Amino acid sequence: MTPRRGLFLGLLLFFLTAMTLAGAENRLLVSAASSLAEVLESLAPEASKASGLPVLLNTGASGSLRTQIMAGAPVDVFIAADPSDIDALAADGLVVPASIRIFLGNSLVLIGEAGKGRGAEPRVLLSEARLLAIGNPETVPVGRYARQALGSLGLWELVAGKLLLGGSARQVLEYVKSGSVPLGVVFSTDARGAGVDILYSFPESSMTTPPRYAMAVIASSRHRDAALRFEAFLLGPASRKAFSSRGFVLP
Amino acid sequence: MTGFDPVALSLGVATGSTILTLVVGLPLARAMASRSSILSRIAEGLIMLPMVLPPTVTGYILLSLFGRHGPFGSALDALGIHIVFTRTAAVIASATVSLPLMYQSCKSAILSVDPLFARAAGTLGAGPARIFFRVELPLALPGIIGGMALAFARGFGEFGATLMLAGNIPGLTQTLPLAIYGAVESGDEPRARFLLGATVVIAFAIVIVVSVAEGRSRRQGGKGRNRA
Repeated sequence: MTPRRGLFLGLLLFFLTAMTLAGAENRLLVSAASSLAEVLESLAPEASKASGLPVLLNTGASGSLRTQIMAGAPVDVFIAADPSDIDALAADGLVVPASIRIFLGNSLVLIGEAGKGRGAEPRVLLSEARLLAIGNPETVPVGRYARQALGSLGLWELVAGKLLLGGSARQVLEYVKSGSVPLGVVFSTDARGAGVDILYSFPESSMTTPPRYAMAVIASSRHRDAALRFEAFLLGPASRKAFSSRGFVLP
Repeated sequence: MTGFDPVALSLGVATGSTILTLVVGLPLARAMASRSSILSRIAEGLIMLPMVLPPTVTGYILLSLFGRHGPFGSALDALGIHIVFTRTAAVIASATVSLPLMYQSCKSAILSVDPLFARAAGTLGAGPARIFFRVELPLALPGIIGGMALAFARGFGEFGATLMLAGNIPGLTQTLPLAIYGAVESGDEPRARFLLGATVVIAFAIVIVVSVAEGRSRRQGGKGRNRA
């Protein structure tokens, strides 16, 4: 090995070590559904104080976050947009059973482009609309709830053949906001302050299981006490206030 | 978290990934350039695989390998090293996805060097290492620099594999592409536009720097050729 090459490898090794150390162990890693990113970010400083460890957020689709945990990602707390993701981990013994909490909910709304003022029944709106944007029921939770609610209200037949499947609630929102699609179904927390009109709120009874968020402490967490304190903080008054001010439902 | 965090992080990750692909890709390309057995074809196929696979799939494979239950992950775990959800993970993800670009560029650069020069250096008493560093490498340099540029660009824009292996952690592993995606997903348009502007400026700077560097090394390579 020439000296120059040795120096090069040495530098690389140093670089990689420095990068690994930068991801230090003394923090609470919380994997949370994307829809919670904003509110959790705003709560992070207080949550760090309450849990005793700096809280780091890893946000994404609940399904991908679950996959990462199953592969052994060093996550301490998992907050999923669907309790079934937590249940799947519980079945494999990957979460602390006593730490599972269904603590937050959402409501489903029918939205339209802002300022189009259509005060009609959802049945009339849906039969007149050219297209309806919903999340893909196979992959996006909000899409699955939309299919359930439309089905139980007998509206699914009306929209068959004119569904536009979005990859996320945000995409559905963009379709409607930009006027590309007249109607869409999203969560009320997505629709808030997004520049669309809420035309109808689906009753919770229209869904077999209404939208709920669940959280649990991961069994392999090395900071179980801090993780439990973090959970307690999310169940406390400061967090509840932040959640309800952003349109979440407190069951 | 400041607005520039993802910018600095992305530049660091892309630099680390380019160095890693060069250190791995160049020797591989040198070794493979003179081989054509079935086994080497298979190895080449493996190197090129991330080019064909969707990055998310590459990320999933890396996650299975480096996760705590994976073959690499469990071995490293025993040493107290954790890869998943660190900046190292971001570098590994970017490097895996950009290795095919580096490898291909290096290989064709090495193959484009007339073997006559190596043989001539051999008759004058140079060993294989000396031939490589003093004859082949300088002549192949423009192609190698081109490969570094491609690898850097690919690493800078990496999204799918990074999201899987390194996660989306602001301030730790949230690179520029992830930050833009997050800003769009959360409807934060000013932030999305700011990050987009930063990306365009950096990408443009890279293109300029590379074309200048490549032009310069091509001229020097030409001079070297005359001397040889």
